[in-house]
Amino acid sequence: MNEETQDRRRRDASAHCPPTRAHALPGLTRREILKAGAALQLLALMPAGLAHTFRNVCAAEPGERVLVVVQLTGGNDGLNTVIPFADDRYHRARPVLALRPERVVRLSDHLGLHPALGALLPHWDEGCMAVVQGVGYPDENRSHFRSMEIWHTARTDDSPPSAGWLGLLAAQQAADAGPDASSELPFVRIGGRDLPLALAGAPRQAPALQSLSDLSITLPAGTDRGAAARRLLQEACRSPASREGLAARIAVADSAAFDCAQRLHDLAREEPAGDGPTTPLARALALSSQLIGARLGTRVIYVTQDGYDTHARQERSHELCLRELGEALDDFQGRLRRQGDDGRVTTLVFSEFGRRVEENASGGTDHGAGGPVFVLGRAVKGGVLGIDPDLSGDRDTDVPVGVDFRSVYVSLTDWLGMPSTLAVPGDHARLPLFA
Amino acid sequence: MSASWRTAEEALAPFRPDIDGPWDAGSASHLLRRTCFGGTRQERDQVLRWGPGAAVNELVACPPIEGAYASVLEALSPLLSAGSLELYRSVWLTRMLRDPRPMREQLALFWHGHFATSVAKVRGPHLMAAQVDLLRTLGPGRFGVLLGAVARDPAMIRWLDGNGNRARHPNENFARELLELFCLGVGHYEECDVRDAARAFSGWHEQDGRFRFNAREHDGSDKLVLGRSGPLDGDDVLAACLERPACAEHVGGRLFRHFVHAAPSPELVTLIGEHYLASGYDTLALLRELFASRAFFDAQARRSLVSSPVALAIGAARTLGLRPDTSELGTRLADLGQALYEPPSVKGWDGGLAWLNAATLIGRMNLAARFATSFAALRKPDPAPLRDGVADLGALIDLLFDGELPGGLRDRLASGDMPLTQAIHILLSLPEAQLS
Repeated sequence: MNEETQDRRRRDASAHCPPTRAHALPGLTRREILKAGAALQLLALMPAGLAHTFRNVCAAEPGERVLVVVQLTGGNDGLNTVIPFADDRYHRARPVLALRPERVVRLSDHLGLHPALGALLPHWDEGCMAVVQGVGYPDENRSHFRSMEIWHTARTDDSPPSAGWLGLLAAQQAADAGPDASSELPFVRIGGRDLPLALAGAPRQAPALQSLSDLSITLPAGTDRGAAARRLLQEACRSPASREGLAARIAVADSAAFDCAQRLHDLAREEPAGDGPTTPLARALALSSQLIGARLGTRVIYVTQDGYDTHARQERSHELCLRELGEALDDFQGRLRRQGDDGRVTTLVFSEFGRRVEENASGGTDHGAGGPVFVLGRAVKGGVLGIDPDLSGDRDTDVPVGVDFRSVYVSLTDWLGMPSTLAVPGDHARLPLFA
Repeated sequence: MSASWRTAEEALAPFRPDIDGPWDAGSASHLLRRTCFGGTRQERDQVLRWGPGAAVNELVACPPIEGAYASVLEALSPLLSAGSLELYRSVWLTRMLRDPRPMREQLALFWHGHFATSVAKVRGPHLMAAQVDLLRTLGPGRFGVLLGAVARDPAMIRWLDGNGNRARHPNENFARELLELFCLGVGHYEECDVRDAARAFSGWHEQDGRFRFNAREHDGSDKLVLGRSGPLDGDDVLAACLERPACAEHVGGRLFRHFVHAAPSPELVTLIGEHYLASGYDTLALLRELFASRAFFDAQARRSLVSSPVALAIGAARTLGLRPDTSELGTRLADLGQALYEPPSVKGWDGGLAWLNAATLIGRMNLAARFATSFAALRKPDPAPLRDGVADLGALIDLLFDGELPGGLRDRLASGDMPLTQAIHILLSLPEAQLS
């Protein structure tokens, strides 16, 4: 990406900033504050009331906050995602794959994003994107399956994995909400039909949605008088009259299902017609934004993107993956902003492991250890956390792990206002991910 | 009514028509739903004529496959050598739809949830299909024989890390689930039992899709599992499990909760365990006893189970005489939360109300719409419409709900001249239709 495009993107980004947020602090836009650097220090200097207001523009009530998890399946090459372009050892280790300093999208004087992630730059500039370097777990396991299992269960021991961290979070939520909140959609996965282990163990399996039509009621072919037929169907299913036991509970759940379908139907009507997103990930995230906008009580959304297992000739394939990722996340943030939900949604982007520092002989990279995760959202405090990869090791080395992934998890569950004791056992340091 | 069975013995005693309750169309449909997913009007009338004793003997049997159904399977067999997951799903659903005595498929589905293994980790759909073949063949027989085969099943070994269980590095995954989920239940074993049981199974490996006992990786030293000691191997551990009454109660109780109702008293579970153990774990014999019992025909049991997506779809299709596209159905059922060969975890599907949420309820209604359209397109739908495609709602309600719908609903639906498709769509979407 050339300088001009970058500049344009920066300008676009500031144009996106809704005026209400800028007005919260007289005389200063949020972007200016962040540009000036330490927002937190500024907060400390502010009168308590004003600081509170400032926080509130970025944050919704905890009960309304939503976590979107984007899983990059296959083991993303972190070093070619967040690039230590000023480090000679990076260039030496990757004679074929290293990106020259002038090509990277600079985040600082020594770190830059892969150019395919240029769409994320405005979010970085606005201070809505955190990069956590070197995330992983002790004694990295290089098996996709095992490593994903560890990320999904938040456990590194050998206990048989029957439940995932989000499944257990859902279980806790359900226990707190009581038995009759039965038809909300608190935890949802989008795209992919397989239940990720992360969501296993929930009292109600997280539904898999492929498109909005999964939540719309289709009348049988040849049914005329559509509206009347729909009404009759609803009446017959939801009326609790003289129903008891299980049937009565299902009637209540049906009632909520009809509401849910109706709200999404109304929302879809409001949606301006236009070019929809074209990639699977962007479509999944667009659907996520619709669910969030419909306020169905959704708290966690799980989305996956495949294609990161880049053992050979990865230059092009990795670039395509990252481009889809960056543009989908940018599109998603834009949608959330337009519908006024950006303050209550945070997105986590992770992969089961990073890849080796040295490229292999096939123009690819092999399974490694630590890697960067991204945390995105209006509530997020932008910047780099963790320690940049130390590339001083010998051949065949890994990006070292400096941050336990469970620290990321518990920081997110804290933000969601959900107790993490069941979902993420053990004592883990919190990261300053949120403003 | 249930209160009248003061003791577990009384609840498990055979149901006597007209003394314990009426033997009517509702009872016949109840039996058909639980043993055969559901049945047509003709099948219901046949069951009614048989009477409860003969009907249970007839339906709770897994007779050799012959006749037209054998030809169906024969026609499918060339597809099965190296199929895709979608194909295996489609073929299994075809079996459920077409088997004239689908008890064996009901049982295979039950065991698939009990020994829940997922293609997600096993990676070979053919290995999963082979495992379910094993469940289908051995499922009706003695539980001990089934258990021995499952412990050697290549898909199970991959699923619970059997190849990682080596003499010097035991892996407890299989041993733990064996004790906790497959046989005994929490509270009936100690951690040390798990540890030593794992060592007993060391060397039970899988290679190229076959079981292989790897003697070099088997730990032949002394162990102590559930009170048995010596240089135990895997079969000794299985025997130790099977002789525990807790095992018969755990598995027998699970069969009861799956096929009869969800809340048996502890005394009833104990009694079921005694009978199961005394029969040498003869599963079909236990099922005959359960299906013929007063507890089964009790009001407490009727419409007391939330149908799984598979049971819902196959039940509706069998009741209405539909032949849905099983390939598409397999995917739909996965979206509804029941991906065959791919249960969510080793605990299987949670079942009950856990099947239902806004998305799956809407999905169930949309499946009902699909079935309604198919029914209207049948050449000879039964029940036949009254005229011009307007439904004989009374006959439909009788067939699907034994005539019982909550107050007013029957009248409200029957008041208009409702087209057949619309009527079927509504009836199959009702909360009552989600219950078996």
